[in-house]
Amino acid sequence: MSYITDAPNTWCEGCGNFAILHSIRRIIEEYEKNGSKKDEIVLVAGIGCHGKIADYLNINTVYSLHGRAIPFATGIKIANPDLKVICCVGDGDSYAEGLEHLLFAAKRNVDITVIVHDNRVYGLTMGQYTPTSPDSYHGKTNPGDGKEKPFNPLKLLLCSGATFLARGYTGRMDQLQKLIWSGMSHKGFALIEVLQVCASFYDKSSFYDRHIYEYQGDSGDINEAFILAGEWDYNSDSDIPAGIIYEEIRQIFEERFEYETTDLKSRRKAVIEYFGL
Amino acid sequence: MGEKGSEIEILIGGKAGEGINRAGQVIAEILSEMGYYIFMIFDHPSLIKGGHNYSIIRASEHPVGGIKRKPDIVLALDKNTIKLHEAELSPHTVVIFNSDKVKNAEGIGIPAVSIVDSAGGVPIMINSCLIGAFCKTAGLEWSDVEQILLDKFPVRSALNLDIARKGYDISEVKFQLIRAGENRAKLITGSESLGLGLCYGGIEGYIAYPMSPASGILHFLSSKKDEFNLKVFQPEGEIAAILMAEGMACCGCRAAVGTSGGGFCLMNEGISYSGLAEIPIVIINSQRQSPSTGAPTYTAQSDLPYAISAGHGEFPRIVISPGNAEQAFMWSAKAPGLAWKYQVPVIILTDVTLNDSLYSLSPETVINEDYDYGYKEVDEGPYLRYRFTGDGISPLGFFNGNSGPVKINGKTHDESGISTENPRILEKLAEKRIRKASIIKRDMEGEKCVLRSGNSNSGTTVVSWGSNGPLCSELCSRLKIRSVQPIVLHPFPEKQFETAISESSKIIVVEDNSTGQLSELMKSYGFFSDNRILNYSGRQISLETLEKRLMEVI
Ligand SMILES: Cc1ncc(C[n+]2csc(CCOP(=O)(O)OP(=O)(O)O)c2C)c(N)n1
Ligand code: SF4
Ligand SMILES: [Mg+2]
Repeated sequence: MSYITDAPNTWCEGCGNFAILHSIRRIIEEYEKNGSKKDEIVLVAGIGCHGKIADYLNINTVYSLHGRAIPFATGIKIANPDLKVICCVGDGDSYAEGLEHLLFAAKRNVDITVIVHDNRVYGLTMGQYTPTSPDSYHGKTNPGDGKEKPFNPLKLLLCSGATFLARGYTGRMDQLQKLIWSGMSHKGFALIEVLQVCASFYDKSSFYDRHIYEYQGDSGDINEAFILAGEWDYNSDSDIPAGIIYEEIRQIFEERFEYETTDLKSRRKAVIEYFGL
Repeated sequence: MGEKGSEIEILIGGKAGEGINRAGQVIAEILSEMGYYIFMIFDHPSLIKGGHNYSIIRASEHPVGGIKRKPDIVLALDKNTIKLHEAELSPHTVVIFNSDKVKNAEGIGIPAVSIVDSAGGVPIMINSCLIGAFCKTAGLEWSDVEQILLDKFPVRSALNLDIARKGYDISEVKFQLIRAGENRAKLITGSESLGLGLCYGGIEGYIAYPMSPASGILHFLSSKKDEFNLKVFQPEGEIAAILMAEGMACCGCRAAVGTSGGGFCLMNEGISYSGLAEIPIVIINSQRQSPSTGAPTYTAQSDLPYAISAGHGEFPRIVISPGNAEQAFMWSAKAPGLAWKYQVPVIILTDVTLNDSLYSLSPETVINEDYDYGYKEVDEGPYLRYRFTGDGISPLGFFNGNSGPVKINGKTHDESGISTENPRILEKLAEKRIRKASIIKRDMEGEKCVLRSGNSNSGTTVVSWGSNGPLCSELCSRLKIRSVQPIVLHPFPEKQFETAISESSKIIVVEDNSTGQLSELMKSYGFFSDNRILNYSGRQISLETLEKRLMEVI
């Protein structure tokens, strides 16, 4: 059984998206080896280069709208809490266009795993700046004059109540795969912020290779998590921790929607009773 | 002393926060128990305290479609109620007023504040006192209303009843309302009826962001979610609302959303998604007056062409506009089935009048309709979410593990759901949507899409839609002219409409907008109107005014 469709792959050579695709593919393989079924997984993708992953993986998918993967995913979980839902989203996609959905999913602790393909650039629309581009980045639509600083998505998500936060890098696939696996095993909202190389518009691989280090410490302490998340501000040349930044267990969103029956007849009966008939 | 047998109109007014709507409802319920058909509007500016709120209750032995704005009885909690409605009062109008607040008024003064105070009540019980006074004025026997009142005062019933009795005793008999018959109806707001209909039609989820006048549906369903086994949720906005509902649909879970103007605008990309990705969804757009935030609690019928074309690109949809509680129940119960059968968005266009008004509904007349449409289920062989079929409708598979991978896609896609921009496939996809549209149009002719009432032999035909339908129907029946109300507005039920208006010598279209939206739509199908009666005051036109304006053109 192939996990990859025969859709022609149109990512550029050297694109970090391949590492994410194959990490997920391997995880699904593992998943089935452990006796689960891939039909229990749904992948929801945003719109951008990252979104093409929906075409490439031979599993349940929703190729959604730009910025809107999260509400689709939330609806899926409301309907069927037993499904495992992975969201593959872009930095433009989920940190700009659809930011509110992301923060609210964290706040509610929806049990989904969000993988942010953060190439710090709009890939598909040819290199405009995103919320995580450094202030020196000069894209097609911004001067790169140092006046508009990036925001730090990890801090933003910590403030919003994310119960699992990790950072990975497409240049370190083994760690990346482990982080995604951990995120999927986490019961609650998990976000893996993946520093993804864009070979065509923002190739920071040598910088990342030099500055990213593997963090292994206490991920249960929120104060430490804030310090760790703030170690690199997405703008400077400081070192960049990759690993699990924060993890906490809290009641999940879906639990409030657990009803016993979806039976149409009983719903109709309830309406008839409401009428007093 | 005035005499009223077969019908009565009552206006009750005061400040926002004084419980006018609830008090109006109690009066409506008393009259409903006495066998009257009820229609009650609730006029309230978009604020919480202060301002002027009022309800007008019309009760008749015959079905009611509107109000006259010629009240027989006025219950004035404050001075404004008399001042602002002066023009509507006639010599026979009896004004019952709170004489502790309103000085120098003519009518029956009830020192309601003092009565409530000395009984040890709280200010909201002033309403109970005036309701008691009303019962006497209307000529109702205390023994007839006592039990009804007791049922309608859920908290501190004995004290409320005591206060009502004091108001009753002090008041005077001015009318002789007689029992009109057995009470067969349930009093219900349009919003409640829409919610009940959706449940009856099988929705499992209702996702909505608060917005007048659609909030009534959200509040009602939220309060009933355990009873009806419903998943009700308020998300971060309307974009999220519609997409969450579509996510639910992907799992085989029927869902609906409800909003008004601006929220509907925000949902457009989701509507378009539903159009391309073929996700079944029911969307209620409760129209408010004017563009933008406009007048949130005032009525209009001004989103018709917008609803028909909302969302970019070309795709099939169904647009329905019910006019009262009965139609609201039936069509919101049909909507989920239609959405699922054809895998399209179904838009229910309502307005402030329908959502917020109270109606008599006989449940028996609506629950036995056929609401089961079925849908094309997954069959043998490898599953293709967007399989090309003769009728443009693909088997509908869900994320439930029954069919192998299901690939939902809002980009142009091949049969399996994988993106493609191949020119031949783009053509085939467009043709699939066109085929589906023509199947829907054909099938919908089998539904009762157009209502006809009044005198069908009359050459004069009044065409109206939405909440104006029942209004025009009542008036036309009295004037012995023809009334036609298309409920399904898209796909336009050409054949049924043609039959309904056949042999008309004069067609008059009545609408709550300033440009004649239905009239323009009719024109595009070759049905020309002779006159338009347009009302864009944010208030439903009264029977009296409508009659006057009709007479000017007939
Ligand atoms: C509502 C909407 N606005 C804009 C676009 C155009 N658009 C498509 S992809 C994209 C940016 C993609 O950037 P990102 O999310 O970072 O994804 P990447 O291509 O880098 O993977 C934009 C603006 C769109 N499809 N929809
Ligand atoms: S533009 Fe960048 S992100 Fe997009 S495919 Fe090419 S390398 Fe990858
Ligand atoms: Mg990007």
